[in-house]
Amino acid sequence: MRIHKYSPYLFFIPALIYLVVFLWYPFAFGIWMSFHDWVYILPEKPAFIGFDNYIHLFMSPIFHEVLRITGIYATATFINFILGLAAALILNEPIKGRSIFAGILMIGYAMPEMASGSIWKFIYDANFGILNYYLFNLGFIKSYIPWLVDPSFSLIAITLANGWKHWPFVALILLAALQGIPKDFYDAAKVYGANAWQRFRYITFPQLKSAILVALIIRMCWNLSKFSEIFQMTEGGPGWATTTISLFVYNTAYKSFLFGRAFAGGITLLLMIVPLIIIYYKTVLRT
Amino acid sequence: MNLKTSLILRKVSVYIILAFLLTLVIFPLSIVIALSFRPSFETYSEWHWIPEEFTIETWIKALTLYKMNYFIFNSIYAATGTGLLSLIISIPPSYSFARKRFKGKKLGFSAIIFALLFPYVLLIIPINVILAQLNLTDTIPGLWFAFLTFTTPYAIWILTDFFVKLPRDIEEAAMLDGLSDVGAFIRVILPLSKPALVAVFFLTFLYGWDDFMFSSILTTEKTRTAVVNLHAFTTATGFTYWGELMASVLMVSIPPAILYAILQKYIVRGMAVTIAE
Repeated sequence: MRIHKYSPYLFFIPALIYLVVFLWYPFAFGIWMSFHDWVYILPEKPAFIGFDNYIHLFMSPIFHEVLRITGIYATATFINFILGLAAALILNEPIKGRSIFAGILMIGYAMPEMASGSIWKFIYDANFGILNYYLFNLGFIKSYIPWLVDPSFSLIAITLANGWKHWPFVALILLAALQGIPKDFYDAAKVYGANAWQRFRYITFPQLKSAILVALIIRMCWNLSKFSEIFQMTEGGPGWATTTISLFVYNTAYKSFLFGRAFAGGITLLLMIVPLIIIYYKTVLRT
Repeated sequence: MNLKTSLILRKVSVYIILAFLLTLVIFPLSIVIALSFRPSFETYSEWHWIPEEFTIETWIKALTLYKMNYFIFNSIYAATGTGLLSLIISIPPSYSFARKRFKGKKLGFSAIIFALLFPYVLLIIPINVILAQLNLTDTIPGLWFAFLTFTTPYAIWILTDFFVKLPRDIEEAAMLDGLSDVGAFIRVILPLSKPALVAVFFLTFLYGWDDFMFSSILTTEKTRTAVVNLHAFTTATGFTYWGELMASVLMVSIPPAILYAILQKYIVRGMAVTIAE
């Protein structure tokens, strides 16, 4: 038996070089940038300004608004979760044509976010959109509402669109976990006369717990940093009404060209996500 | 409540939920199909499901006027490269994580999970600057490098768990037959890992296909991917060419949907990862 003693490290070299050059170095570079006043389109060298970018952000009422918007938008995670759990539970039942239904239910997962963003943009459209058409004809509204242009509706509108797009991911993870629960558990429970709710409460749920946690944490992190579908629907408007942190970073960098300040905003997003990552480490990666 | 009624009740509720979810998915998709097969002027009148005149005019316009055929080619190039490179770069470290004991293993894997949940909007600016220094902006390989920042950790995450779950005896038997550990991995483990490799290829391909954030910054018209072009159907004044947009939505959604349908059983197994046993 020949064992290559150093192979564990050798195996890492390509991935390590790549991740250092394109992930960790850029990240460190970005942190450096956030302490400098750097306007990308100007030829001047970036000037060191300490925490000014951060202080500016935290004094700015717009950035407070951006944080609030990001928080509300991230509640879409719970819509993802409820629909995903429902789908996983019924796809685990012995129904006819299960794999066809599973395929149809997962279409949203395989579809690009820009595509789903485009569809919802039409549904919510002020003049031709189908939502207005039905609500008006059923008598719920007296005149057409520009859902994405009216700041009192636009944030809810994009949150629901996220809810629609991302539940299949949750369903996939939970379904895989459900299928891993040994059947004997249920047979035993039936022998003891447990009803459906009790079986869910005392077998399914405990067995699903870690999968649920994984799905919730991942979706929460990804929803907090969501970008493209919002950009396709509203570009962050009207005004700041749908500007989540990611859009704020993007617009600050590529519309105002304030790279340093944009990165400081991004670090704030990272700080929101870090606690979730720690929970993930502590619970899921224990093993 | 006796057993029989409770069984029927359960069946009925399962089908009600199924019907609800199917409607939820199919309803918005039918809008896309309805809109893409009607002449433009019909779109800008009161909503109706069945086109008065059936036409593929919007598809032709999307392909010719908006050059979707060219951008879809770019997408295939960008996404396939992302998928293949992700596999090549992630297989060796995943195997190491799963099978080897070495210093820094825990820290290394934590760094992978961190990168998986990391807000990627943080990277667009520095990666843009770095690729510009390397003269790689506005090239498809530049896109690969940008996408791999996410797909490498993603692939390692899935593959490591798959390798962990393969019984060790398999390699041990092969090694007793005189193969080295690397040889056993290549000749025995890799062929057994087809489901996970397929799942990882699909998921990383999908990332390359779907990305807007990096691509919108790193490309111009020459290397633009199809998904980025979906943003081009709305004019600066806010007018949207809905018919052409919806035809393009179908163009970018159908290829991954078909791939998904073909690879479904692998992907479901690939997603089973994440869960500690």
